[in-house]
This record gives sequence, C-alpha cells and structure tokens, in this order.
Amino acid sequence: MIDSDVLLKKLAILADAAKYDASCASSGAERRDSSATGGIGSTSGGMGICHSYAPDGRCISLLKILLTNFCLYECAYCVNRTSSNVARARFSIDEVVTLTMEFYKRNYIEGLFLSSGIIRSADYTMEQVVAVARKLRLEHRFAGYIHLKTIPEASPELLAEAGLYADRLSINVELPSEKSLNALAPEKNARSIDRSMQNLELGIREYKESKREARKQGNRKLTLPKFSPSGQSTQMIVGADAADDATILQRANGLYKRYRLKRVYYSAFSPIPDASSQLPLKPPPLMREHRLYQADWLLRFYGFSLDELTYRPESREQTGMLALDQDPKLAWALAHRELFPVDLNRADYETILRVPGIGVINARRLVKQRRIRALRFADLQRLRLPIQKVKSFVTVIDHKPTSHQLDNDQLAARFASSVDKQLSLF
Amino acid sequence: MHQAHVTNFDEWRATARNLLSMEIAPEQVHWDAGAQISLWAEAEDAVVGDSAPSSPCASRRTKPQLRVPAQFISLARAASCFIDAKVPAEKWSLLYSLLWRLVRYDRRTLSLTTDPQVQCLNRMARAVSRDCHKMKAFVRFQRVCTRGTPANSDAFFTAWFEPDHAIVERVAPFFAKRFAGMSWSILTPYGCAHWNQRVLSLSTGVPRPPAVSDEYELFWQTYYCHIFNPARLKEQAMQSEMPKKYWRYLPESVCIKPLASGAAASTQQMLDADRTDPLRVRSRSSRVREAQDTLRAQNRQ
Ligand code: SF4
Repeated sequence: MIDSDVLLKKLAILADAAKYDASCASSGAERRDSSATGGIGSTSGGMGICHSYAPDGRCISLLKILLTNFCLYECAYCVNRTSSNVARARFSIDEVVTLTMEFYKRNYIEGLFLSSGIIRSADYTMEQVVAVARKLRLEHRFAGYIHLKTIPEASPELLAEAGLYADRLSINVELPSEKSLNALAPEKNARSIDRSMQNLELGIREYKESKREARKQGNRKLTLPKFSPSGQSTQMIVGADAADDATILQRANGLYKRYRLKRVYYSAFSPIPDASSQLPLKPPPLMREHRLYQADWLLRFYGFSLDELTYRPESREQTGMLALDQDPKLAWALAHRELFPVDLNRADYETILRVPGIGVINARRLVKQRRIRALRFADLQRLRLPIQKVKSFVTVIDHKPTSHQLDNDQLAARFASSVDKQLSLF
Repeated sequence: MHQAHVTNFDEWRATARNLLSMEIAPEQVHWDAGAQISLWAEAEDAVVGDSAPSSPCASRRTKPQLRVPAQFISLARAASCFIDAKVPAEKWSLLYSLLWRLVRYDRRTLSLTTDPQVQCLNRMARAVSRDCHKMKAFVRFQRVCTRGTPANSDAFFTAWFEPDHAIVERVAPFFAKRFAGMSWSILTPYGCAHWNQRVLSLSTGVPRPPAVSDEYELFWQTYYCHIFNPARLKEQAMQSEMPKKYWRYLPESVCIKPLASGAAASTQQMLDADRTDPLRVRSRSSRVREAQDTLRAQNRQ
C-alpha cells in the first residue's frame, strides 16, 4: 500500500528536479499496441501525442521525473548538484512503476522519461533506472513509451539491457566544448560521453540493420534483441558558458553526422531556486534558444550550411551569433537579396525551400500544383502563405515584386518590426 | 432532381456509386444528411477496425467498377465525419462533385491543391484529423470504484468528451488497442464507445458527464504544478495548443491560473536569492570530497 502524502511530496520534489530537461518527446516510436498482449499501452508511430501543456508552453507528453535528486556531481548549472540547497528525495522502484501505470491508464501521459542523480556509482544508479523499465515491461506488460537517461560510465551490459526496454536512450553532452565541461561539470567526462554515444549509435544501427535483413530474408529470427528503436537524443545548455551559436551548432551538426542523433535539444540555462555562485548572473534571452532550434531545423531539413546561418547582413561578416530579431531564414534571405525574387513556376524545390515564409509542406504543394497549372498570386493566398512576407521574395505569373521592394533598405527594418510583434507571443 | 439521404460514409459510397452509374450530374442531386448521429442507433457490436462496405461483390456485378485514387477514399472517409451544423449535407454533395470530377474528367483533380473544392475537402479532413488528435490527447479516464472490488483488475474507467465532429467510431479503436488490458467507456453527446477487454461496442450518446472523482487527479495536478518552470511563462503558446474549450476535461487546468499569476514573483525570487558556494558540501564531507576528487582525477588523465 502506498502512503499518499509521502508519495505526493516525493513527486513534487522529483518533478521539480527534472523540469530543466527540455526533452519530452514521444515521436517516431516503433509502432506497437497492446491488442495482442492484453497489457496497457501503445505508441503512436509518427507524431507523438502531447497530453497537456504547461503554462510555459511546453508539451507534456511523458512523466518526466528523476529517480532521485541526490547527486554526487557538482554541475554548476544543475539544480540537483551536490552543493544545492534544494529538498532531496528518492523514489522506490515500485513507486515510479505505480505512478507511470496509474497516470498512463488515465491517459495523462504517453509514457515515462526517467533519469537520475548519480548516487554511489554509475552502475548502481543505472541498475536502478533499468530495474524500473524492466518491471514496467515484463511484469506490467507496459507498451507505452520509455525514455531512459543513460549514464555514460555505466557498464555495457546495463546499457544493452536499457536498450532492450527503452524506446529512446539519451546522454546529455551538456556543454559544447570539453573546456567548458571541465570548468562547469568537473565530474563529467567529455571523452566517455562521446564514447558512450558512439556505442549507442552502434547498437542502434546494428539492431536496425538486423531488422532490415530479417525482413529481406523473411526470417524474423535474424532480428537482434531490441536496442533503443527510437534512437538517441541529447541536450546542450545554452548561455551557461561563453560558447557562441556557431560553436553550439557546430557541435550539434557533428553529433547529427557522427552519431545520427534524432534530436539535439537546446536548453537556455534558466534561473533555478538555488543557483551556484559560479554561474553568470543573467540567464540568456529565451529567444536565443528559439533561434537555435530554427537554425538546427534549417541545417537538417532545408539544406542550409552552418556558415550561411551565422552571417550577419548589417555587418557583412561572420559573427558567430544568430540574429535575435529575425528568424535565421529571413536573415539569410535579406543578406542575399541578389538571389531573389525566386520564380515559383521555374525554380527547383530546393530553391523554393529557401524563400522566407515557405516551409516544406507548402513548397511541396506549390511544386505539385504547378505541374498542372501555372501558379498565380491567388494560389499563394489560397495556400495561406504569409503573403506580406512572401510577396517580396517571389514571382508568379501575375505578380512580380517591384525592384524597389527588394532593394529597399527599409525591407529589413520592416521585417524586424513585424517579427517583433509575433515574438511577443512567446 | 434526385434526393439522396445518407448518414454515414458507407451509405454515401453506395448511393454515390449508384448515381454515378446512372450518370447523374452533381447539380441534379439534392443531398440530405438526416440526423448526424443516427449511425449509433444500430451499431451495437462493431468490430475494431474499419468496417467493410456492405456487399462489395454484389455491387461490382451490377455496376461498372469505379476506380478512384486511394487518397480520395481516405480523405473522404475523414471528411464524412465532419459536422457543419448550418449545412449538414454539404460534405456529401462536395464529395460527390469531386468523385464526379475524378471519374469523368481528371484523375489528378486532387493534385489541384489550390482548387476551391479540393481545398474544402482537405480542410474538412484536416479538421477531423485535428479533432481526433485532440481527443486522443485530452480524453481523461477516471477510475470508477466498483463496490466491493478495490482490486485494480476489476477497476472500471470512464471518460467524458465532446468532440467537434462525429469521430467517436473513428477514434475508438485507438483506445481499444492502447488500453487493451482495462475496461472503459468513453461517453460523448454524439455516441459512446465501450471496451470490456474483448469487444469494442458503440451506443447512443449521453447528455451529461458522469460524476466521478479519482484520487490520482491530485497526483497529476501535483506533477503538473512542479514540471512547470515559472521563469519561462508563455501562456499564449500553451493556449494555442490547449485551447480553453478543452480545459473542462483536464483535471490539471485548475492549476493554470495560480501558476501563471505567481510566475513572475517566483522568478524574481530565484534571481534575487543568494548564490550558493559550490564548496558548501564538499568542504564539510570528506566522503563527498573523496568521491568527487576520484572522478575529477580520472577526467584529467
Ligand atoms: S550529474 Fe550533474 S546534471 Fe546530472 S543531476 Fe547530477 S549535478 Fe545535475
């Protein structure tokens, strides 16, 4: 029998301890449900489901908690570091299992995101985290989403078992450079973080390949034991060290390429209840984090290169920082006015993708439509493109921006103010 | 003028096939939607998954075979759940017009992404799919304590929800597959779905939510309050994803107002608070110091 009062107190402390981790995603999971097992849970394939939103605008998809917020490490940016004065608690394995199952049955959540402060040793801590997942999967036939935060120094056997139960494993790189990590998280080891991400990548790849091979040969026995089928992700803290956006994006880009991460999360270092005197006094503007996500997106899905994004039009030089007052695509377009207007009836898909205000979906729609009938201005309106923004950058049969519209130095100023209005929504 | 009276997708499909085989143009048909919810009356023991058209073989023998893009069928299926209180039959006439164009004129009609009829179809299908998504997200089950059976396995769960469109039948299989191992009912004004761990069944709607309370709501509210970071208050962003009309289903919504109004003060408090010396514990506890020093030494190697 669970003591409700004690459990409520623990839940409050250990949710507080977990809230600074940006990830709460359940997307891209391998599709499964409980119809065959009679258990509880399913994953929704492509798009994850957000069951609620906190007043900070963030999706609540998973029960995101720490197993314990006792921690031996002294990571300066973290509310759970040894020297912090916050209240401490520790869940038992059964308590986390019960909360997960009961929340899930009420359709509050898609699953569990479990992480932990490091107590005693890496293996001891990881073993507890794995035990929760094991119990959920084996004893409760839980088929919902599980994301486990992995401790880089834990033994390979434990990681293999974690990969068997978890949909996703993650290791936070925390800071973009080894130097910052040494200064702000002296117990963390940059090399073992990299090594572990590499091991995870290998495990994930081998599992995926064995699945493909099994399908090809029509022999399911060839499939290796599951290993983190939804891949791995990581998080970087923004603004706790002096690293600029270019450095952060470069590190992210390298991680995407080398370890095929599903996501890099950027987390603007936030004021916390008991901050370390080692940290900058002022947290970075939240807009910086937002711009990093936009740039990350452009790098991965829009064919932009790193250099293109941190180039500043006013100063005509690399500054290493993304503009705060313009989204990175608009900033790039304004700096390359000579490439515009783009003729939407002729340009290739990749070029259309680079027009401010046109995203992947609408770029595809435009290309599809024009195969049948040439595009007119009314088509842009019907697709509900942001006309004010788009019209300065494109040509269609019955519309051509005046050269005055494109050359006008006021153009940048006009967008700056219109963007500002939107930003106040965040 | 031809009168066509249909209440659901399969009826529409049968009627449309008929009209098409008689070469009756869309302008000559008057569609009538009847009661939007009559579909629930007979559907007692529906099976999980899409129901097959009533008798495909029979209709194939008597009528010319219709070939339409699969994409049209899936969009039309979705759009057929669309409820427009002012013009309830509009969806059926739109679907028939598009079918007419697809079959008689141009199989690529759906690629005309800026054609008003195609856009209307897409908009309806999107509205229905959004509604389904919100229902999957915001249905909240409550445990009904059945008398004398406190054990979990006998627990029964109910939920109350008011979707904008006639989607209960469409979404119910999702819940049956997700919550296979528990018994539940989802009640809505337009129809109810029930799962007894074996069969999914449907029944007519009910006007009001049941009065139930569930002890785990307090746990969920506690979680909700503590996962919120007051230094990042963005109420508008929250409301655009979780519009107020859904709040009445969500036990956590009572927390929103106090959290939002207290956010600025608690952020200021965090910023103003004294900073803590990173040596605070280290300088007192040799156990901590030794453990940290061991790790730090390894990192320097
Ligand atoms: S290891 Fe560092 S980041 Fe993780 S909980 Fe401990 S102090 Fe926080």
